[in-house]
Formats: sequence, structure tokens, C-alpha cells
Amino acid sequence: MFGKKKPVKSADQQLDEAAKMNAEHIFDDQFREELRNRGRLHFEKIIGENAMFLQQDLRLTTSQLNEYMKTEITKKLQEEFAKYEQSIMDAKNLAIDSIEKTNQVIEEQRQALSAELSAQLQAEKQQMIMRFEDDMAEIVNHYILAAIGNQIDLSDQLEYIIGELSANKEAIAEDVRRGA
Amino acid sequence: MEPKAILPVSVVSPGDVARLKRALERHIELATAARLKTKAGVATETPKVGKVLAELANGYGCDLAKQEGQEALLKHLDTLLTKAPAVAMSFAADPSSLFMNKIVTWLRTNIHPMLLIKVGLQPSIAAGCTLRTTSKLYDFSLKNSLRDNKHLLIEGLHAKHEAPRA
Repeated sequence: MFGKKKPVKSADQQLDEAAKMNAEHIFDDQFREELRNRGRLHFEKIIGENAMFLQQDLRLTTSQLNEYMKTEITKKLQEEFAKYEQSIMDAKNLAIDSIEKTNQVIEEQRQALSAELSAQLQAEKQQMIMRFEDDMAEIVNHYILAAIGNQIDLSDQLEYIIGELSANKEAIAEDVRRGA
Repeated sequence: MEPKAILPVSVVSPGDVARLKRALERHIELATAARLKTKAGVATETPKVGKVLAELANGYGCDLAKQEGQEALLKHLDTLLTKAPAVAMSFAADPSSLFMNKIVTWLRTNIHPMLLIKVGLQPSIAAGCTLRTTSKLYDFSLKNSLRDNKHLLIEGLHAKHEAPRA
């Protein structure tokens, strides 16, 4: 050990070498592996915690988003349904108005037609009655003429004829003057 | 001056006037022949004038014994035929002369003194008469009277029909 004299080293160099030797001795592979495992476990723990927080946040956000979406969709749907209902009501009212107007017009036309028909029937009835009365009067006249026509002596009619001529004297005289 | 014309009541229609004209023409022919025979020394009788013709000549103031009177009456008859007013009367039966005399007298007194009447027969009127002028028909028949008063028959029927309701 003392056979060959080694060169003398400075104190700092000695300290560095000692530290180096100790460091290599302390931070050996096993220790490094352990540190690595510890670091990995710690990292995984942190990752797990963060993942859990993130999951919670995500769930909360999802829940809020769902709630918001639900609220918005419901609101929108309610608005749309209200509009739709209003449109339906308007259309219904319009249809009812239209039907009422149509009914009114039909009723007016029915009444007018009924009145016209009634008037026509009445006129036709009146016409038939008049025709019947005319025909009946003609038949009675014909019967009277046939029954008594030959029984009246012409000389008995002289007074009547002169009376009728006298009643129309002026008109006859005027006609004769014009025709002469 | 034109003599005041008086038509005999027996002259009723234009046919009567035409017959009188023919009778007058025949009389004129006979009178002319008689005059010529008289001039020739042949004794002839003056032709006789019919009653109606004489009455008409008297009405017009024409002397039928003279040629002027005959010609004047002939002219009057021509005028009567062409210018006298005429009406047509129809009766249900053939009227008697007496009946027609009264009708003609009334018409010539009240309507026109020279009025001629064409008499017709129309049995369908039953009674009364119709009178037709040149422009109008006057219906004084029983048929027309019944027709005009048919409303009375209908009113009577209506009254009869409504009586039970009351």
C-alpha cells in the first residue's frame, strides 16, 4: 500500500472525489429504481387525483350542461309550442269565422231562395186559381148563353141596345166623323 | 143650295143604296124610252117610281119626273155610296124591319143623318149587339156583359166559400 507513492491531491479534489464516490455509493441503481418507483407512484397518484377532479368537473359540467340544455330546449319547445298553439288557435278562429260567414251566407241564400220559392209558388197558385176562375166563368157564361141565348127576343133587347148606344153616343159619333 | 138630305129609314145599308141606284138607273132608262116614244107619237105610260125611291127623291127634293131631278138623285146616290159613313151591326138573330127602323132612326138622329148600317148575324153573342166603326168595335152583347161581370161570379163564389168559416 505504501510501496508506490502516489501523487498528492488537493483537499478540494479529495472532497470531490469522496463526494463522487459517496454519491455513486448512495445513488446506486437500486436507490434510483426505488426513487423512480416512488416518483412513478407519486405521479400516478397525482394523475389519479387530477383525473378524479377532472372527472368531477366534467360530470358537474355535463350535469350543468344537461340542465342548461334541458332548460333551454324546454323553454324553446314551450315557446315553439306556444307559437304553434297560437297559430292553431288563429287558424281555428279563422276557420270558425269562415264557417260562420259561410253559414250566414248559406242561411241568407236559403232564406232568399225560400222567400223566392214561396213567392213563386204563391204566384203560381194565384195564377192557377185565376185560370181556374176564368175557365169556370167562361164555362158558366157559355152555359148561360147556350141555355137562354135563344130565348131572348130581339125586340125585347131594343131598350137595352138603345141604352148602350146612348151611353157610347159621343164615342161612336166621334169614330164615325173620323171615318167619314 | 144643297137640299137637306133625309134618308128613309128603309134605306139601311150600302146594299140598299146600291139597289136604289140600280132602280133609279132602270127608271131613267124607262123614262128616256118613254120620252122618245112620246116624241115619236107612240102613246106610252110614264114609268112608276118605287116607294122607297120616291121617298128618297122627296127627301133630296128631286123631281123624278124631270131628267135633271133624276140625274141629281143619281149623283146623290153615288155620293152616298162613296162618302156616306157606315157602321156594321151584328145581332144574335135576324132583326125585324120595325126593330131596324127604330135602330136606324136613333143612329141617324144621334150619330149621323147619312149613316148606313151593314147588318150581320152573330148567334154566339146570344143577346144585345156589336157595332163596328172604321176604327173600333163596341160590344154590347150579353156574352161581353157576362165576361165583363165574371168577377161578380167569382166574388160570389168566394163569399160562399168563406161564409162557413165565419
